[in-house]
Amino acid sequence: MSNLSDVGNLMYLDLAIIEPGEVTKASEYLIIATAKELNNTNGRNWIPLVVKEISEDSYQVIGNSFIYAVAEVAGLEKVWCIIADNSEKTAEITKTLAGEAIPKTNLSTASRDEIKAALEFLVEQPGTVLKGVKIPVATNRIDEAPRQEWKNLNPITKLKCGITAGKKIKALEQVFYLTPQSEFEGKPAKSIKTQADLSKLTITELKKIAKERKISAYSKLNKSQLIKLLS
Amino acid sequence: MFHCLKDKQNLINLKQVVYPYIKILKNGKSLSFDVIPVDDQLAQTDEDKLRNELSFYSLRKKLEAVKSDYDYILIDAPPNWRYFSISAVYAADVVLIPTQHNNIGSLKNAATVIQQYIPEIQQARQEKTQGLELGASALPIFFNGEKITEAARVNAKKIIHEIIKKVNLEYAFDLTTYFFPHFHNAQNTKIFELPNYALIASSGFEKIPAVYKTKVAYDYYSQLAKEYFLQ
Repeated sequence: MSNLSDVGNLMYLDLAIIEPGEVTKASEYLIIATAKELNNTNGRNWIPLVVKEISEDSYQVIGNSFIYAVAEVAGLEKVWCIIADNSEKTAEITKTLAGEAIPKTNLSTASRDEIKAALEFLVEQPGTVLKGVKIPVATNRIDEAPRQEWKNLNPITKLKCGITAGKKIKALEQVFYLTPQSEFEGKPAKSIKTQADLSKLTITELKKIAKERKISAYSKLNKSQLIKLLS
Repeated sequence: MFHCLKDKQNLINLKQVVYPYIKILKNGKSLSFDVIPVDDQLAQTDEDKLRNELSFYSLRKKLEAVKSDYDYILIDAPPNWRYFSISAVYAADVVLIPTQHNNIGSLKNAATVIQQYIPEIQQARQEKTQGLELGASALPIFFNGEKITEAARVNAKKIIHEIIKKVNLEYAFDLTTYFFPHFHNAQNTKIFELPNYALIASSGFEKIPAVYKTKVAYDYYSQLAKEYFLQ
């Protein structure tokens, strides 16, 4: 079906039929000076815009929006574009590949090295609010904390590693996200069916499963009664 | 024509590239049709380069703007499945497929077009128009070529039966009515024939359509029009 779609093609499109999408954060100076250089060469944008087709002969920028701004200032009538598909995921990865979005790390599952690299990245940002945070200490404390169960990043403020509530924790949200896992993640409670499986668990764990399954009147039961109830 | 197709902002109307042909009859009435002549630049540009500036729907969009001015718009497509023919079939409502009775490749190609390519085109056009337009349908094939002897006709039909059986078995797609349009009527296997006629081919030299020159050509085309369009 590739013949019936332009996805993946390099196309030379009128700037007038391309919507800018998200506006570039680049400085006015960079845009104007680059436009001038482009005009002084041959006016061809060798690095293409990345666009998606929103309807016939109508496109929207999803990546390299700096080039769109430059082309506009340079007065180019047509620009070279790569046509990407319409999915959200494509738009996200394109922005990240173009260096326009910061990739995020899953703090629920991240390795120690990943946490360290993310913190270093934040501390190295110009005008960082994390100045003074000791990376080895913060990495250690975050790595060792029960972060698999965190529902948000607030517990970090209690680790006494220099990252306090407010601006600092907000800065961390730029690079971290969480996918909170229950104690039985990877071994969902509903999959435990045999009595043998259940007998290996403690009363507290069994009650937790009962609670997760929204079973009522389990609190006064003993272990064997709980196993019977859940199996 | 190339510039017209490249124009995605609707600045160039297809009417600007047509050449009208008007014939005044003896009784004072006039008949006319418009022709879009071959555009050398369009014909000689590599397909990859064409795809840089044209989409498969570019032709359809241009025709859409003028279709209410015509009773019929005929698009002559090359016998392959590349940019020009894809654009032509995508733009069409019906597809007329000439085949050669003595060429198994030609008969098999017709089957592939009907069973595979046309449904793909229909799907693409339905997606683009949110289901408002069905897309091209195939009309029954006709034989166009050398004069056919009775023995050759029997042979061709035998092969067509085999193709129908094979496609039905492999793809659960019934080609019967596309090859034998009168089959429902007591299994009638008549196929329309438009024999080659030297004067039709040579009319290009005289720059006068053969139907205006000879009665034989006129009769052939009248029969074709009656068979497919005037029922």
